[in-house]
Amino acid sequence: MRNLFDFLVKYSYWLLFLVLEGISLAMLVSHNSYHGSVFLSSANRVTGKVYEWESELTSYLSLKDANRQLVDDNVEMRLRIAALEKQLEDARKDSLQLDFVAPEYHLVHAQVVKATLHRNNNYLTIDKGARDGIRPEMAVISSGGVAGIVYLTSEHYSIVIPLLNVRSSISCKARNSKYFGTLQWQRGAVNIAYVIDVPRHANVHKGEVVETNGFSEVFPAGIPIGRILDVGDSPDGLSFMLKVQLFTDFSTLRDVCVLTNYHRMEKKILEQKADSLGIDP
Amino acid sequence: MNRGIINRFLGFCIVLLVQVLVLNNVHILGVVTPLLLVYPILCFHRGAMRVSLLLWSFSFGIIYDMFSDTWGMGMFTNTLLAFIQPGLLNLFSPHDEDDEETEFEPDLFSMGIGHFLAYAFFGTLIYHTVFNLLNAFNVSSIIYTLIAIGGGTLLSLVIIFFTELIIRKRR
Repeated sequence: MRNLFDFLVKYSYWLLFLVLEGISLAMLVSHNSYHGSVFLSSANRVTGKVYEWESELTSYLSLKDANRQLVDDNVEMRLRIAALEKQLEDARKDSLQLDFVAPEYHLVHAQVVKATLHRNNNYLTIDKGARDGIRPEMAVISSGGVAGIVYLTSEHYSIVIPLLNVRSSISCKARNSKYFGTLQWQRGAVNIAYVIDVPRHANVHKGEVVETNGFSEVFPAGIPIGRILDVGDSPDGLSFMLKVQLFTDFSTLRDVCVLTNYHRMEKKILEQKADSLGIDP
Repeated sequence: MNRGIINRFLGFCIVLLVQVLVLNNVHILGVVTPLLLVYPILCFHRGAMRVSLLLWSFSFGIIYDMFSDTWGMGMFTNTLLAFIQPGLLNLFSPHDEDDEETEFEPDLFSMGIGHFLAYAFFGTLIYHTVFNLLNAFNVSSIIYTLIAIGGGTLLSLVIIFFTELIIRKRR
């Protein structure tokens, strides 16, 4: 027994060597069982952190190259955009079709020739009028979403009440909610409006899209208006008041479309309904 | 004693970081990667406790494997080199001061350039051979393994030589 003990002490490092090599070989051979050994890999927290630092450092060192690459990309993209815009311009000379409006609607493409932004009652003037089929109470839509409602028309021009008008009032709802409210503007910021009279039990969240609900005779349902920035209480505390960032940038607004046949479509549907019920209109 | 341990620990850590962050990204001819982890093992002084040498090397083998995803290759090779390092050192250290009890530190100037380079060359060669053969279980061609062993050995030796020049001169 004592001899064995002496032997072990004398050759302890041999033993240790064999044990350690055994462990190493076991790991080598069994490294296919990945889940068991994930701790002993670069996936564990410490090694991962070190590699994260390294990548932060090296990415900082390569910022110059990255910048040059970005500039190159930008120039290339600008050239492409210019080419594509020209194609688009050619393609939409008469009418513009926006993807969120059903293609049956007829849209008149117009340009904003004059706009005010900083009064209580702001107006847009567009370069299409009665001769182009525009009538009061028609919907005006920009590429971002709702822009306003036609107020007056002359032969060649029309005046639009944009969202940025304290008299403007548009029925709307959050995209994933069935409760609706009224969009109103308060003088000040040109990209912020408020949805009032939203019931307190309506489940609305910050970041949701506000869109038209189709209740009015002006806008079809589902046209985007803006994104909810904040959900707050109305002054009387009885309902929610949603602060909305408008999608339409009125300070740079130039191209708009007027939806000219929405009433007629509605009338047609109503007539069809009456027909099917056997009522003589 | 404590200071020795701290110095050794720091040395291992620095070599490990250089290996993991810099040298692991070197792939000359697609296969040649210098393995500097052999260096701190070679630097163990004569008469050091063999058990502690084994444990140090094994531990840093684990850490290297964790960083490199080499699954036991670093552990195996480190342990093996730690096992043969004392014998290798005896073989190449000058025999006139061959006293087993003195703490003789192997470096470029204490051993002489020729002896040190021979010592480091064999240590590095064994290290690269074992490591790359273990690695070759995943790689098909023996030519690549031989290139990896030869190139890695030479490259590591050059790095060790210049590191020795810089470190020892300052002392």
